[in-house]
Amino acid sequence: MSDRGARTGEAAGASAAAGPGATSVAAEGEALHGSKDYWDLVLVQLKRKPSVILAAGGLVFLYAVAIFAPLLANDRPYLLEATDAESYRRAYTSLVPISLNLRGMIGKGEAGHLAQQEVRREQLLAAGQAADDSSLPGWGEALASEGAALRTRLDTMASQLSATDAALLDEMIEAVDATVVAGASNAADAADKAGALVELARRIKDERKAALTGTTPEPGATVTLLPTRQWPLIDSLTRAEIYFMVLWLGVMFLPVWNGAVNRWLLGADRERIRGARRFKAAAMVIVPLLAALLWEARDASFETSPYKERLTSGEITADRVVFAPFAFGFAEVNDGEYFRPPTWHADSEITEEGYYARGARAESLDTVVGFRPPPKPVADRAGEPSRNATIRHPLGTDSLGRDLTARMIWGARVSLSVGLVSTILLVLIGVTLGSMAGFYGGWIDVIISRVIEVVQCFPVFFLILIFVAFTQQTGIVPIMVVIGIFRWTGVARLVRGEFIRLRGQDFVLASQALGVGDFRTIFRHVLPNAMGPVLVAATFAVASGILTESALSFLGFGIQLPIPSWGSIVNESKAAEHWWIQIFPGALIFITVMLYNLLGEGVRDALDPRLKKA
Amino acid sequence: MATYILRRVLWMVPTLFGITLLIFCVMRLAPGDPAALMVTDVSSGDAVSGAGGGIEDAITKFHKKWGLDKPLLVQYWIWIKNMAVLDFGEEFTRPGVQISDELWRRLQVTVPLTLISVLLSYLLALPLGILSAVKQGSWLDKITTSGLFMLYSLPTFWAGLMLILLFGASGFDLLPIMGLHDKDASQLQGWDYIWDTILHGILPVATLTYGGLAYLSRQMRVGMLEIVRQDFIRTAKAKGLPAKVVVFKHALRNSLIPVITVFAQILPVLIGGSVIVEMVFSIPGMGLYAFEGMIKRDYNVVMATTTFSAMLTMGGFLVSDVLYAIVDPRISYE
Repeated sequence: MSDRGARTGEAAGASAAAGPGATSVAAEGEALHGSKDYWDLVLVQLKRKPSVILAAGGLVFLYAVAIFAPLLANDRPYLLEATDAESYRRAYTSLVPISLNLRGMIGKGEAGHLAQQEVRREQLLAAGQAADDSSLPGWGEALASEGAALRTRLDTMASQLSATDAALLDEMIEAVDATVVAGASNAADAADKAGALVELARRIKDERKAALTGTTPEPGATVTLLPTRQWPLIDSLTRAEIYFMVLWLGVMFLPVWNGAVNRWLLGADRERIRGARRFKAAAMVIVPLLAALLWEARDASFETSPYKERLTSGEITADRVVFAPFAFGFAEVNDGEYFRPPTWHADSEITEEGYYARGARAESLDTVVGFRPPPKPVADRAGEPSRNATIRHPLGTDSLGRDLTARMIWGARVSLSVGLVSTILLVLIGVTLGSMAGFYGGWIDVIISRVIEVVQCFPVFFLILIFVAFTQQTGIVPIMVVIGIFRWTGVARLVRGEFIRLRGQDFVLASQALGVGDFRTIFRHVLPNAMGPVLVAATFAVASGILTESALSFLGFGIQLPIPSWGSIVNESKAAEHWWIQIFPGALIFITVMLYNLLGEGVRDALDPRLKKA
Repeated sequence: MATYILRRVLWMVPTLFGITLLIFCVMRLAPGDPAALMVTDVSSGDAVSGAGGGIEDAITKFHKKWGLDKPLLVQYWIWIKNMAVLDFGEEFTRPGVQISDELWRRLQVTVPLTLISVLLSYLLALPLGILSAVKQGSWLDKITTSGLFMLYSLPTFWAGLMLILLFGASGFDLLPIMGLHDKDASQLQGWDYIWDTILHGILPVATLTYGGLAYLSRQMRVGMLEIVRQDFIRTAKAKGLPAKVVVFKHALRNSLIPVITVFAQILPVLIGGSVIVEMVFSIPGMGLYAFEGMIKRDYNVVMATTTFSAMLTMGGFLVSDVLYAIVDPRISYE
């Protein structure tokens, strides 16, 4: 471990040179709590650089935006306290028909049902379809499913009625259960019970008619609907989303909880804090995992939701509705607002009738010629800022009238994850091949070095482009893999060089003399000493991965998911008149890449302080 | 020296073999049959014409016409045999058009652009790097370093689009943004024609240059900083030599050596970037040719352009290695 010792000395020397205040703290810490290891010192170096703090903070923020995207930009409301007259009406009107059907089944009896099933079976077989138990339920099952249909409708209605109004419904639920039980056991009074059920359904139809258009009472309405409380946005979160959200809360509040644990639980004892590191790391993985396992998504995550339309048309009457800060979904299309400039810009003004007041689109109203059809009038919709509000589309809209802010927030998921995952992949490949070439030398080295040379001869971007274009891969995973497998050569060369440098050193010879296997020598002894440069290269590789993906998507060969990447948003229009589509997503790519490069520079300076001026 | 160059050229043979093999594998073994893609994508044209027996028949005809029905090894052999005499075959989508002719036309655009951009980055990067290294820590150094750092992080396509917005008709309306010539350029004479070309070239060259410039001057600065710390510089200063002599005679010459190899690193980036730059500015060069080939799914065009760009890159490597051996003769004896 002589090398590690030497490097630690260097780093300590650099920290001593950097500033007197910091030195005394470090010296004090060492005197009190024993030695710090190499990475401790690197961390101290990193924390002292404002540029690293800025870069790390900025990246944590960007990843937070990506992970919490559904909470920031969504067309589902967080909270909806509303009366849903439409679903009440649907349940209400189908009560009597279903009850009649149930009575009819009981009237025919089990024998009648079986005979009918036999006919149906022959029909199915004739049509060449499978005729098994699922398509031909038995007597008891058939009755139970009718009963269940009635129950869900009664529950839907009861949830919006006061307790007194719902009493009649409870009565009917009991009647349904009794009828189904009696019918299944072919009891003598089954037909009577079914008859009573139909009577009850008719009574409900007469006495529980609601004001179906919400607040305005309809003639003959006998009850008023009470609002129910729903959480549509929260319900639509998936397990994976919950995992990353909890994980990222842990990362963002790391200083807070870490400090608290160190102070109150571990008594600020340095040795105990070091011992607890692995438990903290485990907690960071396990706690989000548990949260995700306990979570149950209650709403299949569709790209768009009908809430805004239903609220606007009056199908749902809301007492209280809370939308996300940006009340637009990433796939929410709005025909009238296509290519609308940012709403703080004068050109985006819309008249009373809902047409553009000025700019290129206004003219198309008057001129008959030209390819642009007159836009549909833009209507005010529930939950959205009004038509001319400055915050409506702060970054404009795209060719389908989708809000650019929402798309950029969701697009962060694609852009950031492609950079990260492709880098993990290229580091794995590069480290494996590079360490093999550097450690073993000989013909293994010759082959691997040749391969590296061949791949490096290519303009890598060209190669990735033709591969993506001709395999017609537009999924997120293939793009990550392709970027990873064509960009590993830099890391491999780096690791190979480090291994050649370290191969002959005493600590490697010692471990080999002790009979330690190659695998263990490589991964436990040599590799940790070569990780510094790899870490630096990986940070820069994330930046170039993001650049590569955005350029691919810009050319139209990248990821084509419902969720866009920043590059594919720019691809929506290259016309200069749609300047907002080009400026904003590109600027975000620029900023992200710069933050990663800033971080990489900081890490490199911390690992190799020689180039700093003393 | 001659033996070194000879050895270096001989080493290129297996690399060239590897390059052609890799391209062939990527193009031929990737899922998707070129014939099926052509026949289904291109509703009219030579591939389908005269095919009475439907798509299957058209595919067989297509295979036969382009030799795709032969075993893969035979196809590969024919391909590299033709390429050895720079015959890249005909375009799939425009039969009769020789790719080598078209490529030659396109290279007359791309190669000058690339060379100018390399030259510019060296001309600008060396003084910038030296200046910020000599005046390390000064305001000048801080401003140039952070400015170059930002340039280094700028996505090429976005830089091009922003230049268009800024200097094009929607901005200050100072420079032409499309193509290499005006529509009526053929009527221009002598200097006017050259001036027109220069005006059209400014934005693309700027877009192509800034990345290499930023990388190069950062390398230059780091190299100078390392050299400045060496013992022989201290000796030179101790002898009482003027600062100018120390910087330009002792430090600069030594720090130039690693910068020469950077040439080999920025060349592939430039050639890859030419796809984006030529597409953004609608310049009919090799990059745009490759891009059109990809859009039209023309396997022959894409294979030709990719191989040729790899060969260009390899030529660049050779030049930089030879230059390196000239400035540092120890290399050729190793």
